[in-house]
Amino acid sequence: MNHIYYLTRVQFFSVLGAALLLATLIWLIRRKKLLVEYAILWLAIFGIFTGIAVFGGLLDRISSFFGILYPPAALFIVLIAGVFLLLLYFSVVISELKRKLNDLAVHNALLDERLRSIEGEKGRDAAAPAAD
Amino acid sequence: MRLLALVPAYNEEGNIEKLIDGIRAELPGADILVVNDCSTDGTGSILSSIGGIRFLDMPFNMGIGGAILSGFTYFLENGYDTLVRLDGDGQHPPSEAAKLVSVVREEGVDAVVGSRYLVSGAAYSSRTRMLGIKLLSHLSFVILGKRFTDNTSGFRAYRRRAVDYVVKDYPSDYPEPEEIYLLTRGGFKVKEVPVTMRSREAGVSSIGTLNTIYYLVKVLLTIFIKYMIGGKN
Repeated sequence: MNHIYYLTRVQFFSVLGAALLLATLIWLIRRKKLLVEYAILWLAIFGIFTGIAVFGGLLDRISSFFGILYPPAALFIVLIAGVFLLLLYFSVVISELKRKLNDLAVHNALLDERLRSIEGEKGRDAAAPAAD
Repeated sequence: MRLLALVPAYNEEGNIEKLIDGIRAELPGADILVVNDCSTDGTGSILSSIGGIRFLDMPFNMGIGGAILSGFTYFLENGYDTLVRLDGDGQHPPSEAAKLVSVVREEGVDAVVGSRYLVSGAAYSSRTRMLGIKLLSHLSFVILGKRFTDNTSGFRAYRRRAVDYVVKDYPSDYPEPEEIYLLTRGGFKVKEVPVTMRSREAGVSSIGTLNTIYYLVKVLLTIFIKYMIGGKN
């Protein structure tokens, strides 16, 4: 009975957590602080997590497949694995962004130097007739 | 034969002018490019006031890898054939730079590294740094079959084709040991020559003890990963 009691609480808090996350994601998207493509990733991970939590039979099957004796532990393993994958994905995104940012900075500095050099030449050309 | 002297500089207001004068005296045919890596002191205004040099003003501090990458890109885009790098802190004497350039041009090597440790009795660094440098030296012998005594030296000269090769995947920070690794594994001729270096005359080094440890761990892991995946560009 205890077992069923804990599972029910886990189910309740999982649904509550997913609802809060959904509300937060919608709020962040509306305030233009989060792109929809990244919100979808979070939703997918938490959708899977909530589905497993709500459908107890699925959780039992997953835990027996992995040889986990206490099913709620399997729920958290799924959650941790999901968050781990998200972090890995964001590391890839950050690396790509850093590379692009560096390329942009180099490009910007080279253009700035070229502009200075052209302005310097123009200044010299303008000064030359006056000197004559 | 067009030569570019590349000087990465970050907060070097006390050294930069003297260094540029030295380069002009020792390498009269060279164009000078200073990469001002978003200095917070007067380096930028000093560079603006000196005539006859080129400089890149980075929009944010990119670190030494980003500064060198910018200089390399400028070098390639503007049709130079030889590049010599001298650090903005004044530790690399321009008189020695001429020696590096002549080795690249006359001996047919692709890159030359100025080594402090080929000069007998030389000791320039703290104990932690010396330990790291020795470790890198042993590592270069194990994985490249050739010992480089001063992997961390930034005092270098290059032929165009070497720059063209390393620029494709240039490390963002602490690039020097990895650069030697990439070039040697890529089949380029890299040679060390003895040079005398000076102590920094003004300002502070960007590499403290903790950074030295991070430097070493980062470089060792990067080289190890590239070695495992057959790191060629």
